Amino acid sequence: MIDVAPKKLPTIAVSGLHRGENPQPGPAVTAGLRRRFPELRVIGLAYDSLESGQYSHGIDRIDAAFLVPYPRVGPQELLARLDIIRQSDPFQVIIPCLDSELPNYIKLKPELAKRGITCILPSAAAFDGRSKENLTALCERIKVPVPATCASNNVYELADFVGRLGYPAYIKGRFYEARLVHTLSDLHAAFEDLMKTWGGPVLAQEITLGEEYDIVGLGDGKGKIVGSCSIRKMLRTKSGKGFAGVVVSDPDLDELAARVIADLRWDGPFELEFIKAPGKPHQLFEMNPRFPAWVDFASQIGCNLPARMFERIIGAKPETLVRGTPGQMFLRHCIDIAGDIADLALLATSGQRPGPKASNQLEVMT
Amino acid sequence: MKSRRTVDRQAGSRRARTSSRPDSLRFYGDEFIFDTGSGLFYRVNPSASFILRALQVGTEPDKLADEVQSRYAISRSAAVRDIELLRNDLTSLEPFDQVRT
Repeated sequence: MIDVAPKKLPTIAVSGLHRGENPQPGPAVTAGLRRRFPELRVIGLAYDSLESGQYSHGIDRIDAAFLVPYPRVGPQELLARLDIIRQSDPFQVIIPCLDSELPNYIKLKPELAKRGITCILPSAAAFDGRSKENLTALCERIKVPVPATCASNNVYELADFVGRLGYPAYIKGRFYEARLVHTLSDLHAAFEDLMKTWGGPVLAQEITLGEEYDIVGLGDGKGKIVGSCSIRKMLRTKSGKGFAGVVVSDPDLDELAARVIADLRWDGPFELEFIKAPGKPHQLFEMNPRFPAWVDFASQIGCNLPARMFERIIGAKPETLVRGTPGQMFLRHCIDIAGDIADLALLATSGQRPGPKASNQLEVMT
Repeated sequence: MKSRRTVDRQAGSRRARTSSRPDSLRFYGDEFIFDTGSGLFYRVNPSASFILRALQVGTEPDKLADEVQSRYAISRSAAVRDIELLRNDLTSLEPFDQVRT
């Protein structure tokens, strides 16, 4: 086991820093890391100078912020930018927190390794295997129930599928966003929007009305789950984001999760999203290749998965993970962070700036 | 004792699961029940809570009718009717499937 004295800890780069209406996981991951390693240095990789996590003073604060190119620009531009950042602020670990970033980081893994940067990621095959367009095939193979889904670049094929399924249905983007469509013209409009924003394929999916269950977990890359926490979403926003959740203990759900992770030999963080209609089994409708935005709730109740991943990276003795007791719950609570336009100006013009100083303003977050 | 509408589900929730274990119901006082398997929770009235607790620990129907009769000072036929009405209410709530009989 290596020494984990604060001065010897590697610096971590975390992305997905915006905690807006559709909260991203980066600040929650940072908070979890700091709960275990309070002196850790964390730098933020942002796409926009208004990503809120760059201005936090609390436990989820970052020590410096750097703007990076959007994922669609490709891996080489990202690598070039990371090399520039390393010159001024060397870092040794990256935790990507957005789905759309993963393909670039998976491609760059060998190059990052050459630079002494560790990034725990699923294999390209595992990443593709759980993608929205391949999830149905995966689930059918391993006998995990899944809503009827069709992925296509052709709007007429999707219209035909939904016509047979019946309206309403969900039309989903490749990485993010789901639109509820009630008519053929809704479907065409949603298809056009989502194709323009996220590229193809676009998915059509049957609607299952019921309760939503999410599992955050960490795979060991050999088929086992290192730790996990399951919740039922108690409050959902219009776009389906969970703003409240309660821990559940359900062996059936655990068994389905174990089957998925074993088949993919998943390495790193994941979120499995299930829907359960009355009287029917849980259906897996999405698997996200990253920590979810509510991961710090799990950390606060003893299932600190970001810290466990970091322990693995640095070879530290792992702390015991607690699964959470059914009935423990979280409610998301938005706050206002005070800042100064000078901070934004520095970031917008130079692409980087030091993070705000720590305070006790925000000690608890989900 | 009022048996009708003895179980109010939380807003927005529908029926829950079929696989709840009999011990998955957790009681908070006499008017709130949380199912640890499905994560659903319910407001109930005290008499429904009393019957559910008894069913969860496997009390036989005859003995349960005796207990309800005695606790609420009602006739045996009223006790049997109230238990049956509650059990009918529970048929639509999966977490209670395992405690209905």
